[in-house]
Amino acid sequence: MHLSALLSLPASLAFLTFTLASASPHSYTEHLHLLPLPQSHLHAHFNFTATTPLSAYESSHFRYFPRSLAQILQHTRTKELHLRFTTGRWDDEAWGARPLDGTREGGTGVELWAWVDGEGSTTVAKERWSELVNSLSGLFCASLNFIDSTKTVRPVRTFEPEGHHGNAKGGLQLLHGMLPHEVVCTENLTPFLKLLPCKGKAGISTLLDGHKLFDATWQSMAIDVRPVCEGKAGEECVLEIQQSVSMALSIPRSMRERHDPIPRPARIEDVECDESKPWNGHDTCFPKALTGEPAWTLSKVFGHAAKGACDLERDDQAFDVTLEVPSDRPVNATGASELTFPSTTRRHYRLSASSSFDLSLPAHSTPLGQNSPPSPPLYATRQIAGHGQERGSMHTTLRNPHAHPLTLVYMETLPWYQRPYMHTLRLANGKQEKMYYTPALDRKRGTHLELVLTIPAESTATLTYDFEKAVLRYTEYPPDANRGFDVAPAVIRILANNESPQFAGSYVRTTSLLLSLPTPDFSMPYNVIILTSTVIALGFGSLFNLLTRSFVLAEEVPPSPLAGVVRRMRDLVKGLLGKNGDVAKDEESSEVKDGKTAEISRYMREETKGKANGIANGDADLRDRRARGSP
Amino acid sequence: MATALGRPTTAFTTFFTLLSIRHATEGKLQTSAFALAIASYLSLHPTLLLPPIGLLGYDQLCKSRKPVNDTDGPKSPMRYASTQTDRPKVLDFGTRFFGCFLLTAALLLALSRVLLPSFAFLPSVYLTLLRVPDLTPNPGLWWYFFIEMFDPFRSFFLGVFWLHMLSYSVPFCLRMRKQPLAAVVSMLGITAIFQPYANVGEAGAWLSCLTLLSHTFEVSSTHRYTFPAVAVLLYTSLLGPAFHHLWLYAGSGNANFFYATTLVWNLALLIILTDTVYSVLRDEWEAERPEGKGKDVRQI
Repeated sequence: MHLSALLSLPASLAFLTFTLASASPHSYTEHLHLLPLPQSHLHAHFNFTATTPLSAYESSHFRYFPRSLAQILQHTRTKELHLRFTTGRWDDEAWGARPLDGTREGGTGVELWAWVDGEGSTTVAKERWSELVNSLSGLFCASLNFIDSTKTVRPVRTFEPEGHHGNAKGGLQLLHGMLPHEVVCTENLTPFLKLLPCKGKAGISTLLDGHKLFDATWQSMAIDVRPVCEGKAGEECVLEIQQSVSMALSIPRSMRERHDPIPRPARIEDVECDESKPWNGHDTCFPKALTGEPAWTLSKVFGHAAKGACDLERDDQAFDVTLEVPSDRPVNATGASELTFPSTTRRHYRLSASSSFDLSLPAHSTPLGQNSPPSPPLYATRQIAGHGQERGSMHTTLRNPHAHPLTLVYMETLPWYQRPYMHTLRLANGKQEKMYYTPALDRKRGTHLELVLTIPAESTATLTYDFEKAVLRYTEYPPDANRGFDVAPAVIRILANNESPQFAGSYVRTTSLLLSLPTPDFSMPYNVIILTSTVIALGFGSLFNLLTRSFVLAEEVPPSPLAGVVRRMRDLVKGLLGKNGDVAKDEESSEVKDGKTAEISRYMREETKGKANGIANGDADLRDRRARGSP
Repeated sequence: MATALGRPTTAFTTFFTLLSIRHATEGKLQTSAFALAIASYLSLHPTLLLPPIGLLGYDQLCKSRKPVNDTDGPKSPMRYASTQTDRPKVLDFGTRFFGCFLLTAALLLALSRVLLPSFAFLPSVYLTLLRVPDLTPNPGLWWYFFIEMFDPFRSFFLGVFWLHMLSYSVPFCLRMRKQPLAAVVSMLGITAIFQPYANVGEAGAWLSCLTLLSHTFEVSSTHRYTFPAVAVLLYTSLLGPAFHHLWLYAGSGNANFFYATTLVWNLALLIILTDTVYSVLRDEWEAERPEGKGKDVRQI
């Protein structure tokens, strides 16, 4: 039962690709898959697939393939592209395995990886990658241009090309970049919708609204471009673009009216009280835990009904919307025709161009306990441990709930200011098969770590290593420096081994982390410069004085020219004022604080003494001594 | 003890520097140059000690070849150069000393090249000392200055700081050519205070080297500011780790607290340094003019 539930979604996709292959080379299909999740959530997966033959692509004849994206790919010689915009967190414990085994989602923020034709040179590939991120940044209104060399890595085992590249595969270089700090919002959704042939005006794409999509608990927008060669004789390869939006909405939260989004408590008469818990007042009580599912309507959850249909070159058996609920749940669908397939849990609907489609499901009391969601291959969580802003440690917990061991690739990209100490890398309860490690260079590239690990059955492995935090320069801090810096999520890819072939090619991603770095005081650049310069100048000045000046006894200090000027002025004033002036002069001399004038005044007193004794002799003595004693 | 607390790798550099000084005082110039080259290979700044140690070695060589009528015993604090004819040739000495230094340095670099895959270790090791890219807090003056510096002015101020530090080596030698050991110790102090990656260990090593100049301690007219400087040093060595913890671990202090204590620490070391230079020069002057002992002195 679980296996069939697990394989059902990939099987439906395989069916889709089959229908695709038998369709004409220019084709377009769209599909919405709705699946209620435990805890009143709803998973909606929108998929828009367009193909174009490679000959038409190279001669710039575009029909359903978006021209803007194609021109970027042609200019930068990108053969395969995967771009992801993700917000929120997929709750593994409650909802089980990720949709499509994690192949159509990315880490928090923006994730981009592409196979670029580098013509054998890494420099050429780097330049083309830089052009690619800058052009995509303009196309999607996202700051993808921040994916520079400090955030780009070349993964070794984590990603495999999904397309068929034939002989050219050897010359392609894989580059990968992540921006965990990027905020994904409506300005990224609008260009995404503009790439669709129906441009969000008809069909299921009308349900995509920024208010509901970015209010979801988890959402991921993905664009995957790959060449597909079916290998049939006489049929050429096609270039396929798959745009998908995957979201996990909370049903009660999404059903709130837009004009009144504030959640209000229900009236006490409508609340079912939990009798086992005591309560004191007549207007409050513990509500009974919700079991089963609430009632929901498609138009309420998404804001409005799906208008029309994007009917472009499909055969009669194709369907637009799939609702996966147990067969005993009554469903009311309006505005679409229902197709019957021999499947008890799925209902398929085909939209019509002239009417709007709405689904409504009443509340269901039985919980989903009997068919719990398929369990994921791995439960992975990652934290930063340690305290203080000097060092810390990274702690990853990998739990394998299955009865067979798992082999996986664990890839991490760390920013350069987080300096890991690889000699402290410890793996408990697991075995490390191989390690690919590129150390960081300050301000040039980040750390790239890839580990191939084996985790035994039904056990939890713990991966830890210590790191040190760097202090950055003033201009390298973001405006909200005390928030910290984001560390990109770790990407885990499950590899095939003999015991568990069913999980091969699944991806699990951890959450991103917040790294707090020590911050200087940002109000202080001028003050720091003057204070440090003062200390250095004090030292330099004192040493300079000491080294360049010679010692003389205090009595031998020769008179400075200033002293002569001052003396003449005093004599003048004395002569003018007469006797009254004498008292004033004495007071003046005692009040003087400046060292030099104190010296001069002392010299003055000596001079006056010398005058009494015969000043000419004193001067001569001084001159002689200076002539002799100067070094 | 300070070196043990700070645990810097400059313990090795200090060891080789002191070894070099010791051999210079014994007049063995080859071993002195060899030890100094090892110290410079480990961290760049002992290169600044080349002129003072060279002078010290030369002086010792002169002293060891005393002429017959030289009556000054070894107890004299002043090392007089002997008469012209007995002095070893300056150029000869200089080339031998310098050449030995360069040869050892080249040998060590070649050995490193043999052990490592390329010459890329040269910019990684030595350019990081010169360009100061890493700004981890340390009890020096450079790190906070270059954190708060805007990028266009970085290279200018780097140049100014390095020029300032380099400009002390030769003047010390010229002024204290009669006491080259004092020049060496003062230069040690300059590097302890003004080097980019200052640490407590180097300062501690320099403070213990001050005992080499203990002959100046006895005279009361020298060393004017001992008590304030030592008090401030004690004060900042207690506050420094406290503010460092407060900034990085407790989160309740600012970076400014720690920065201020490093400023005061450096100020205290500077006071000790200038005081030492003053006392050395005063001592030298008093030996020339014994009537000036203890008297008030001015500088012009």
